[in-house]
Amino acid sequence: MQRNSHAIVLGVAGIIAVAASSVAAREVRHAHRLEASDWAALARLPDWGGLWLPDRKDKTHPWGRGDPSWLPATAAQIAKLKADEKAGHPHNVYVDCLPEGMPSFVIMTLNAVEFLFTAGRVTILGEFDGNRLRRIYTDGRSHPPDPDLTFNGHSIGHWEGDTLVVDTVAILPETFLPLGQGVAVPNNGDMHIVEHIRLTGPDALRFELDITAPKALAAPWHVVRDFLRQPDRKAEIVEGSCRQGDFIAKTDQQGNAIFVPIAHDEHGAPLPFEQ
Amino acid sequence: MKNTILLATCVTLIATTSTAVAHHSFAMYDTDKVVVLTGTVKEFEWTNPHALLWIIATTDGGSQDLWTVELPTSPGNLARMGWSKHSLVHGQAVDIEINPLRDGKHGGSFKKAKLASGEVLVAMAKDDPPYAGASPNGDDGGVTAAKAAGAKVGCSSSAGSAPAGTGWIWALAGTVLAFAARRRTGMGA
Repeated sequence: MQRNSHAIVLGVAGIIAVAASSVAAREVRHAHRLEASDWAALARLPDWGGLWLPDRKDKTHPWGRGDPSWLPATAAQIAKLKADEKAGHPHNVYVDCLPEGMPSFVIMTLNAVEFLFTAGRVTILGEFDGNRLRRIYTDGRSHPPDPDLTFNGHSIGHWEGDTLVVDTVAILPETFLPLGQGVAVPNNGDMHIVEHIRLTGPDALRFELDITAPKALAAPWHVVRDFLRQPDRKAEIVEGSCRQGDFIAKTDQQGNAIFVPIAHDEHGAPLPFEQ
Repeated sequence: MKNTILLATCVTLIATTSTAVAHHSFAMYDTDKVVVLTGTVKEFEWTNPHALLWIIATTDGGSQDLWTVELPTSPGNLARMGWSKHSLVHGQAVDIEINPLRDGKHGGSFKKAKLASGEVLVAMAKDDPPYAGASPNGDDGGVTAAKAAGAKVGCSSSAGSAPAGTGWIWALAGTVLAFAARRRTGMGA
């Protein structure tokens, strides 16, 4: 009887060990290689192919839909920024070619984006912001325990039906909560963004963002951004650089093609050389 | 020598203007004013994030001034509106309608261009209602609102505020021509 008990215990332990090693193996598999079934699963995903442009009715967004609930100190800053903007003295936030980062990548873009589905990952490529990209891991991994902070943060996602649910953390505290390109405040750290991305029509796609930023917002900010698919295959995404327009193409004394900086006023407007 | 002077001037200016702007608000342009620059294209820069037009405008007195005119969006968006890097070329005679800088310097945001052929170029998506709204807070991928009535002008012989209520005619003409341009270049949807 006792021998049988030992056998059962050993058997259960063995099963647990095998299961554990299987889980570990799958973790390793996720980390290093994907299988044919992972690629086959892509066929079951919705069609997000093609080029997407922000819905034009959103071009004043999010001004037209009300402000988020700011912390009092932040609200005072926003009020000042709005007043300066209205007076024609904007404080530009996307300067020096630094990445706009999240959530501006979604909220502020006025240019095309495209989506790439590969096994275990969704990649969002933006024409805006120097063709920068977001990687969203859908292979079941978790956020790293001590992630480096980056402009777009660390994103993991999963599919709930035809909706991609994305969880993003580890965003630099300097990235902005934007109401415009001249009205924005830094998130100041610990920001967490959950996105629900889905088709709302044959050629319509919606981002819904729930932004928690406890050092700037008094309550989570729910933002909706719509995109429309462009049916013309020639309307391809193109290279977008963030600051090429700050320079003019010239030829130097050695005959080399060079970029020469042009002058700007204090608000970023390009000026003729003599002014 | 001329280039050397130009480069030296650039360096001097950069030393005193440190703003590196990338994407920026357009609030420094006065949408309550419309100025028409009559002149010739010096350069048309097909650059991101905003295409840029340099125009030598002739004043009422006959003198010539260099102006910079910033288009409201990028080559990618402009191409999808029917533009190309050849839409405006060096030496071309144009009338350019702009919203000028508030501080009086020779810069403005592009509204439309009327070519010698009569063709009108606008930076407007085909599904935009004409002048239906402006983005008060940034480059909006399209045209900004024209509040033409009461505009003050003072740059060109043809300078003047666009007659109130005629904006839709410009916009319609521009949309038609932009569509035609797309057809010519095979870009029509």
